[in-house]
Amino acid sequence: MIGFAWPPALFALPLLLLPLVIRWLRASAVPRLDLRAVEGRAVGPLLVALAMLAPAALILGLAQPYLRGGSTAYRGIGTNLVLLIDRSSSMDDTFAGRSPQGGDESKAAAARRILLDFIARRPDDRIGIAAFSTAPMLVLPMTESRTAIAAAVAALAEPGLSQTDVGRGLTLAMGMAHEASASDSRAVVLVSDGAAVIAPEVQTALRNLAARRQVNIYWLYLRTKGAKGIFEVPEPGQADTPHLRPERHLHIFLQSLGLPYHAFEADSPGAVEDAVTEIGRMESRPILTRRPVPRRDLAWACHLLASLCCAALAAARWLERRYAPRRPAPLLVPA
Amino acid sequence: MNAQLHLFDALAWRLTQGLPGLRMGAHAGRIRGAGESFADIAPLLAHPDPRRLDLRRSITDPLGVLHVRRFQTRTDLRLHVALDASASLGAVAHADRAGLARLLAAGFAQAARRARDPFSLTVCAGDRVLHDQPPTRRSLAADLLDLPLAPAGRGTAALEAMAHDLPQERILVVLISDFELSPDELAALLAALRPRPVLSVWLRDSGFDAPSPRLGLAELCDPETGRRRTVLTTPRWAARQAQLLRDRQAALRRILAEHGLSPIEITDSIDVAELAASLSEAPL
Repeated sequence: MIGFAWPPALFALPLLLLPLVIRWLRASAVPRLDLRAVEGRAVGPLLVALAMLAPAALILGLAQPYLRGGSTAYRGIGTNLVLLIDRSSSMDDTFAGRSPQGGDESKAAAARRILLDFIARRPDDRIGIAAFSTAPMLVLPMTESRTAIAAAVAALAEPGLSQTDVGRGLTLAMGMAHEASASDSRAVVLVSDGAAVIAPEVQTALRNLAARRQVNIYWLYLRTKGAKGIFEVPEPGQADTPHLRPERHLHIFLQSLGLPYHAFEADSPGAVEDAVTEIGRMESRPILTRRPVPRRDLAWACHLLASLCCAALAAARWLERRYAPRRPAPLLVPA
Repeated sequence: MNAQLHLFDALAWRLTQGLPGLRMGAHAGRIRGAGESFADIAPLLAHPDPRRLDLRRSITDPLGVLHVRRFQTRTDLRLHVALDASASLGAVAHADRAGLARLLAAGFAQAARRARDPFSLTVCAGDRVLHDQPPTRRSLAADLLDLPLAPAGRGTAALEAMAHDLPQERILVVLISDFELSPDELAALLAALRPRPVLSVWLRDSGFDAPSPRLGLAELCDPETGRRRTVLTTPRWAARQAQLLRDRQAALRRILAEHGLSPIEITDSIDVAELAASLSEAPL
């Protein structure tokens, strides 16, 4: 759909009819054209067309036309992905559990870097971002805009808060995934370095959400050195309560939801990268998504066309010849 | 130009056939009577003019019949100039053909006056008559030099209508035209002029015979129809134009020859001496 930034210029369009009245080349009178050789008949209409096209293109250029932007639907390979990212202050530590020093990379920074790479490799994903700390935060609704997603991930570089309310964060993320699409696959990727006890009412809400619609859940557990793993079963006699082993119990809870669930335990940036690659491999399904089409300025094309037409007309004037030079001889042959 | 009109005094025309008519003039008449040129001998009783009794023939006649000598009478001849001033005459390249036509009309008027022949003129522009001068013995040459001549119109409708109104005898039609006509148009015009003797004067512009072969664009406008055409001029195009024009001119000459005419071709300028020579040789 074409729009114009300055439509009043279009009122000058009737000017393009002038070449039908005013000829570009000077005519030389030649008697009985109908009895002469008929050749090059297309040159005249071509010149008139050029002479009409030049002002038309110029006027259209002044009106500054543009193609309206928007988005087009297409079928790609990807998924509706909600990134649920832990913003607790412990994420700002390194995998070794220290504050980053020198060339060290914090867990949050490694997660950001690897997720940005992951997003860049998957152009068809529709992605939403949520974060949780003391409270869940909707960072970015589901969108196809890669710049918005990249900006949202980059914005997670702000220092984190203290608490880890993973339960309500999961509720928010699963809600977002539910709203994203009715037919395509949906996935929630939880990136955290810890967990917390999920309140019973939140557990109920999560079970209800899980019962309503299928969502693939991936938990990328950034394990700090010395922390207990989520797959570690406590030895007999050791306490195994959600308060002492919240990560293990969150893992058990997520397994109990009855949804496709995969947990990855990563204790280094390389392991995070492997886990993310594996998630990407598993979440490559056909998806009906939309590709943004930006507004495109067309004035330059009009001005270019007008310039080419003017150049062609100038060349025609340069090539202009008379049929025969007008040099009338004296009436009488000089004696 | 007025001073050079006397050059046209040299123009003279003589018809091969004798003319009927009693009015005294400079041309051979068909009627026998008094004159300078001996014609034949006739019996006195049939032509009772004893002043021209042929004694030798009368004496030697075995039957004793008296004979008289008869002479060719002289009579006049109306010179009618038919000028085709259709719009094509106004196209100028190397010749001002309208000016040439005006000068020729004045020159023939001058020559007719010198030959004591009545002179008439019709200027036709397409289907309109621009100027119609009835036969006169007055000297019109100087006036005709100032004749306002604005070529216009197309075709030969007025010329053909004029031909139907002309007398069929004792007239010589001088057809001055650029002959920018199709063979069919020319044939129709000559058929309308028949059986009058016609002297065709072809005004040619050498500029239109061979266009410039330089590469370029030329916008052409037909002065008769107003039609325009833009052409890409190339050496090949120019050669083709010239060839087609030569073919058309040959076709026109063939049509004229079929009517017993040999056109006097004037290219760009009038050479009066050459015109007079051509005129004396013209088949009239």
